[in-house]
Amino acid sequence: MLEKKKELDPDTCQDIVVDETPKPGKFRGPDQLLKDLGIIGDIEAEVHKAGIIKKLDGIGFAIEATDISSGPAINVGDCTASVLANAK
Amino acid sequence: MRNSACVIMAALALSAQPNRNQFQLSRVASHVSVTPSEVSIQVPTIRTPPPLPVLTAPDRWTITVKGPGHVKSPITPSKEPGYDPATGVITISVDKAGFGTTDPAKCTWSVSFRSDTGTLTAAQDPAISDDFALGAVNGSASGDPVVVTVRASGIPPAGTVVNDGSFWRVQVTDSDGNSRAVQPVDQAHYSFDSGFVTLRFPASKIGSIKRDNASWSAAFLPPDATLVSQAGSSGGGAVDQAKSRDDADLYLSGTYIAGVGTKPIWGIDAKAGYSAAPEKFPVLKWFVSRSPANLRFGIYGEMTTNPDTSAPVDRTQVDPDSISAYTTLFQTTRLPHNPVFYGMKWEVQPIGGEFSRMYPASNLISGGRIRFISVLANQKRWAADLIPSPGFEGGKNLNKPGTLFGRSVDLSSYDTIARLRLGADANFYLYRRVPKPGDAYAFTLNGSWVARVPFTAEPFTTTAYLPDPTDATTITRQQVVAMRKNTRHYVKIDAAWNITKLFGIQAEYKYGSLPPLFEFVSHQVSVGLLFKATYTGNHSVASPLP
Repeated sequence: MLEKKKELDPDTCQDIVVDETPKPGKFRGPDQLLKDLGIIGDIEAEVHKAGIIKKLDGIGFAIEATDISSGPAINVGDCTASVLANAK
Repeated sequence: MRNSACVIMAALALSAQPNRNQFQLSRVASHVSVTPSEVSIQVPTIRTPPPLPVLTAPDRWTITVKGPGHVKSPITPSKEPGYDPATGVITISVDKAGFGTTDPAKCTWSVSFRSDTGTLTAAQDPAISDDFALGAVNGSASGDPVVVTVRASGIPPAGTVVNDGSFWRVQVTDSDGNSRAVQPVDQAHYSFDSGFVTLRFPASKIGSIKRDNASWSAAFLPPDATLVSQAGSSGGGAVDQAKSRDDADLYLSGTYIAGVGTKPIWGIDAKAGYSAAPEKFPVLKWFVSRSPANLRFGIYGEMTTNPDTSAPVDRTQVDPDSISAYTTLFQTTRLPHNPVFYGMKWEVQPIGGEFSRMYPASNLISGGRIRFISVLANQKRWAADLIPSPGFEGGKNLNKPGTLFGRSVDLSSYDTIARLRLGADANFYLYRRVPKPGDAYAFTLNGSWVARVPFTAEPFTTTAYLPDPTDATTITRQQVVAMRKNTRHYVKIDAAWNITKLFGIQAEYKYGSLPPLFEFVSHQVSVGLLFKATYTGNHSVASPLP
């Protein structure tokens, strides 16, 4: 019998979002901008999205890069919300 | 040897891992409360705090104030700081007397807390709003009870108001247009760790509403305010601000060039590109049904006029000098945690063309490169990265003209093309005081360097003072093409001051040469107005190998 896929929750999504930044140790709260965690430009945001996609793939979820909000002026919580809303 | 490398990598990875459960001070709120006798600031926190006797001991806190006038600083709290377990916010008060005539609200505040394990610090951040606001809402597609998560930013009202289900209203609308509202909800829980409110209520409260693909909204209705959730935060338009030419998907720049030995030249530089997963393209989907994560295929084209200041120097008409077209395949990967490289992006151009409209010069080129992304510096107002990129280029020359630039040339040995391609990009970003999505930078500086090391002789174009081909008695500056195997460098530095989100002023410096003819550009400086944008969707193409 196939195990039912567990639903994502905000804490799991936030852990993924923060862990896939260059400087996860600088995380100070959900309103913090991603630039503080090292997402300083477009190419870092692209790598960030790629990391989130791969991490979600590992736990059985898929998401389009287009559906992830990432960039220097996006805060951790809004990025987390985009992952929570769009990961299937 | 291999074991040593593994141990080093593991140690580096561990050193980069954050301590996820550690209590943290998020920031100092921008809003400062002032009464005749005291001044109060709020400090949002995350994670489980130390025991209250430790957290609220005044002598463990130090407040630093920098103001427009003389302010006694550092200072200690005038009474025990208060901790709100529902919101994670610490309120700290200090005596107003120490401020004299200075307005405490106009000062810059920072705090430090000495815990048993170390010192935590926090400062005000104008980029973060204190106002409590609701963002995107997401509802569970199945299960009972229904679980609705609401993004909540800012500082919530003090106490348990935010956790009171009677103040929350949820509305759900299914794909058939049926709608149902629920108020109160049975359970509301605000998590200051994640910045979400989780609402729960029995599925029976929404009856026969189909939750698959349903849209959700939420409202928070405490006694003195009304907050309504917003749509997702994925930008508002089809295009967004790009930092530089290399980052732009759509780029159009008009330039006015002036230099020693050349008349002023008007130039136009334009490019456009589009990418998607390979299976999204009409022909490729016959061969690829599902590609690996983050693999993209793209098409790309660019056109420039008057790309250098070499003779002829009196052309000002809009006339494409070089046209490039490429297809490209690329994949982006986040590397395991390490202190040097954050990610990697490989790119392969299966087939591409290098064309010159003014001269019959064109090459069929394949190539590839790997870009390693390293975040060098990451400060509050500025940041910098470095992106080294080794690669290769190979292909075939398509034309062997007997005359170039009015002089006869011998290109008989010009056939196979094979080059080592070494390069690096460096970016400097100065953020706006309050960065916003799509408008984060006040100033950007981008430098790129490429060195092409040909393994076979290729044309190399320089200028020299030689007898004029039509009049041997006259010495003129002319472009001369020779077949050589020398390394060809190309350096470009872009500085952009972003006046608005999409428009700015740009200064550009170029030095070196680019294929196919490697016309040498010597210390060219240009300034101009520019428009630059990136797609808000993920349709960007990796820059071609410049």
